[in-house]
Amino acid sequence: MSDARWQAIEALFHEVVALPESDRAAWLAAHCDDSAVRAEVARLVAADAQLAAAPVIHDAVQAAARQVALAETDGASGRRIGPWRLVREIGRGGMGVVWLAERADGAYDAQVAIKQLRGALVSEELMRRFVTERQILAGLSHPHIARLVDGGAAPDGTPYLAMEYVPGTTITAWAATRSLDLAARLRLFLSVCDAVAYAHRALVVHRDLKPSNILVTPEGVPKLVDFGIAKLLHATGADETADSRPMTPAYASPEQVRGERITVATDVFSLGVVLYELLTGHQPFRDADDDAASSQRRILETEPPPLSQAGRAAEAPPGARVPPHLLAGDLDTIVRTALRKDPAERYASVDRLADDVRRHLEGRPVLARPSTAGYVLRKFLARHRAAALATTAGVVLLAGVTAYYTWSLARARDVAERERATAEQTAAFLTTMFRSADPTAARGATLTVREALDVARTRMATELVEQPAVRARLLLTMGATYANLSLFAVADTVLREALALADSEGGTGTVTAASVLERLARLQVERTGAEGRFDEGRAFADRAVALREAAGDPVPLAGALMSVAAFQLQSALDSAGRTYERALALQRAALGDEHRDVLTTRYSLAMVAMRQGRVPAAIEQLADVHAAQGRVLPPDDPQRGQTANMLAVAWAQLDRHDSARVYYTEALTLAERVFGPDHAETAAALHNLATAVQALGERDSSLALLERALAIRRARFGPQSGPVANTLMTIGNAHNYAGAWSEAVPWYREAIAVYDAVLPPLHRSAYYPRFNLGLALNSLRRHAEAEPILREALRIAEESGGADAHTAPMTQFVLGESARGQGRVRDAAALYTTALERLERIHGPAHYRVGHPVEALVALALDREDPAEVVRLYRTYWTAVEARFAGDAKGLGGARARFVQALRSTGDAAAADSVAGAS
Amino acid sequence: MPPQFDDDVSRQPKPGPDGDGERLEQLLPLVYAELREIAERQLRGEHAAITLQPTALAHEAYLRLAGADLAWAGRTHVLAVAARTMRRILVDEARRRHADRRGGGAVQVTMPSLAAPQADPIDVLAVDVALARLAERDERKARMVELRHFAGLTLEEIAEVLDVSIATVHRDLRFATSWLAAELSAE
Repeated sequence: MSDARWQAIEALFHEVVALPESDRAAWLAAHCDDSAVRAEVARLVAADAQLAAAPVIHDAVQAAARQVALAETDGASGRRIGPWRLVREIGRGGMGVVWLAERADGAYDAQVAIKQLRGALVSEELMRRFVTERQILAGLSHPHIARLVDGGAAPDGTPYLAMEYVPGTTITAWAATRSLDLAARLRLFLSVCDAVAYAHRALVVHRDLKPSNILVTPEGVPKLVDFGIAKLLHATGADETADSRPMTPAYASPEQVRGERITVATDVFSLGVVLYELLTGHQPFRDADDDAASSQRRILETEPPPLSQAGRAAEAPPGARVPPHLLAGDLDTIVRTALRKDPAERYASVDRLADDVRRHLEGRPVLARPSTAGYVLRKFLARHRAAALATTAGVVLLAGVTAYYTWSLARARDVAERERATAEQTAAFLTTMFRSADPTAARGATLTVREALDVARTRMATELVEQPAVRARLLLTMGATYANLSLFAVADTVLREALALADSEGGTGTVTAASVLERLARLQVERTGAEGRFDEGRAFADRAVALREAAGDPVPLAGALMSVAAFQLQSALDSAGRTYERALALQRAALGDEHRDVLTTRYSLAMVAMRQGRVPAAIEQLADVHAAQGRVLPPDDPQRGQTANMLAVAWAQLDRHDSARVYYTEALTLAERVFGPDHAETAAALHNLATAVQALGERDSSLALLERALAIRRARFGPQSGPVANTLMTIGNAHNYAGAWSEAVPWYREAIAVYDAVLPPLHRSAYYPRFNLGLALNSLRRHAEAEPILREALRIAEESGGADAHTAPMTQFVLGESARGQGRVRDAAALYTTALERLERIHGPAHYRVGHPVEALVALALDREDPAEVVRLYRTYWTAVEARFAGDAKGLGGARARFVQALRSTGDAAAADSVAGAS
Repeated sequence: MPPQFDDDVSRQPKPGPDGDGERLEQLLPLVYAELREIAERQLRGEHAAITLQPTALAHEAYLRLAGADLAWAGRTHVLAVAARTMRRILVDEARRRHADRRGGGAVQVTMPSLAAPQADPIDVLAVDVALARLAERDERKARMVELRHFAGLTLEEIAEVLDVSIATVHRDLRFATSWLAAELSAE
């Protein structure tokens, strides 16, 4: 047949089938005069109509598939393997054939299931898996898990396993044929959970739980079989996404379908599918006529129908399901919780799932929540520490301090944020893995995580000795988790152990070594004071860079450079800037200009600029990052809020509180949208916006924002908490800014009381409300009251050290005011002088802060009529005085008048004229 | 008898990142035995009686062919190979059965009555033969049928594999299956 003819037939076919049946013959006769073509088209159209009723091609292929499935296998029965004689093939697993076998020597009657690798399929990887499986099975002894009886090598050298033979039926078939009632099904399921939980405690995730792997013996005892694809969690370190991952589509979890990390949550999901089917006779993600691809799509994208509406009752075989009206409510919630797409949203462990099933059986309320409240809560907890950190940023009345302090906290947040999610997951994971089954245990999450880690550590001492690489990776994870729990000393020990192992490995170990080095380096920054070994930390970071350079992969290299920069930030800002620039160039080349990581590095560069006092440059950089994030990040990405917040801080540092307000407002809008109106992040944003608003002199608006923030924080963190104290202090500031000093006092006092209750002694956060209270009391001329409080503030400033070197001399200056107010001129002079010397050492002679004690000393000199001293002070520090009165023409005018007066008094009329003329 | 090879297939020279259909076809004999193994396991699996799970086959084929390096072979080619493999497995098995039953290689095609689909189903061997005839006439449509019925791909996936619109797939498949059905009933 010619192409043209074929195409003509095809075209006519489509025209005809689009018509109603009654019109077809007439149309065809009218449009085609070649009778052969007409006949062919008619024949095809007829076939088309019949296909609608009977999809013959499909049926033929499916029938053939069934034949293959039922086909007999090559006759190996009678063959001997070890002491066993093969009876018949009973199945095929991912790694080979499973045989029913019996003792060849008749020593005893036992029948076993023998699993043997097939010769042609033996690869190194399979061999490894086989050996692993044998180790796993040997370690598992549970009444509901098929036992390992024997293992060895067949005559051809392939290894085999002999396992307890379970002559059972699948759990679903068992329940269906006996029409088990709801309670009996749930009890059966609980036995299965018990076995899976046991395996999890032994570090084994099954990975392929489904009815055909859960058999029930004629005595009604469920047994888990086929750990063929179970895999020691140990071995899932680096490349669990790359391994071949056998799974059964209808029972696979979303993370399996996507090829992501497999954890105990994977089994929780599959158990959810099994429970769903056990109760309804239907698989939640599959229709009868589905193919695997649509199953997988459903697993990823759709919520299964509620249990009570699963499938159509008529379709389920009799006995396969329990009456739908029994399945609404709690059971539905339980199954739904197990089937959440995000592993972190599911039951944290099989034990938890079982607990809820048991609660339901006993008529008690279940712990799973029908909505996503649990998710929201967990999100909150995950952010809790970051929020608490970010919001201890205090606003003090002296310009400059605020922004600087806020900045350092924001940086901590920046560094911590990225790993926080992973750390939380790891912690949860380890908790689940190692938690002993103790149903009465009701401890705090942190405690449990720590205990879990400690148990894991103890175990590590004896296990995995022969797998240093795996051990190193696991130790790295554990060390990082310890560090994220602020257990720095033990983190340090564990990470050093990991490093030693990774170093000894060489080869692939170097990648692990680099990761360990980076984490160890960061740890030295995180550890405070003398504990952090700074030089060593820097050396770790440098080694990491060297390893990454050798490996040649630009993105990890950039990461290592970032950890070097973290050290340079402490002492050599210029170098830090250059290191960030280098990292940025690498990332840009590899990831493009607007990749998330690129933007994060640019953000760090902005931080460097900020710290160098190049605030406008920081703003420029941040504005770019902000704009790019607007293009590439989803509208609800929290990083956008972070950048907006930092832009606001930068503008506030330039006293551009109007601009600061714009960005704080944006951060607040985002927080409200992303986290909700009552979230801790939202409270932080409210708080920050209030600081800008109060600086603009709008006390009432500021107070309204702060009241909201305070209410949220009291509810979230409790009335006795750092964030609450911070907001209390900021309410005091709102009054203080407005000159309502007496109204500020009680708020500061309350803030101090709360801080003292929750902070360790001499914590720097307790400094700010004291300092501010001292200022307010001085303004109220209650100098005697102010003095002891300022002395406490000074002690904190001197002893807690930290980056803000000027806090102590500034406190001495304010203390000088208190002394002077009480008539102790000599004390005041000493304090002013010390403050001046220290500030000059820190900032140089021209800084505005230096202007404060200069003005105070001038006042003292005028009191004792010492114009020469006034002239000396002003001559030496005039630039600082001008800076001190920047934007305050009246104040500056006063200073100039004093300068001129003193010059005249000392007889220097020419100079006096020149200063007066300069105004 | 599966071919012997002393090396992991993943260590065979790998085609470039765009995938290389030719090379993949050459690899097919090497991995055929293994794919067949996988396919049989799947066919024997949980839902053998309900439907094929060839996409999972394709997935594993992917892993076997590419080792851990999943980027090199286009999903497209792997799906095509999986479909071809599944077809061959089913046909080989059917042929073996016929041989067993009749003591020889003579292939006899069962004649179904389209009006009574409950009667003997069309034999996959007949489908295979008709499909080969279709391929002579219209290669693309034959591939579509293969992907649809032997690999279980959705229309969207077929559109992606053959780089045509979904509407085209829909039209072509309708025509092709009608043609095949007509051929089969005409024999």
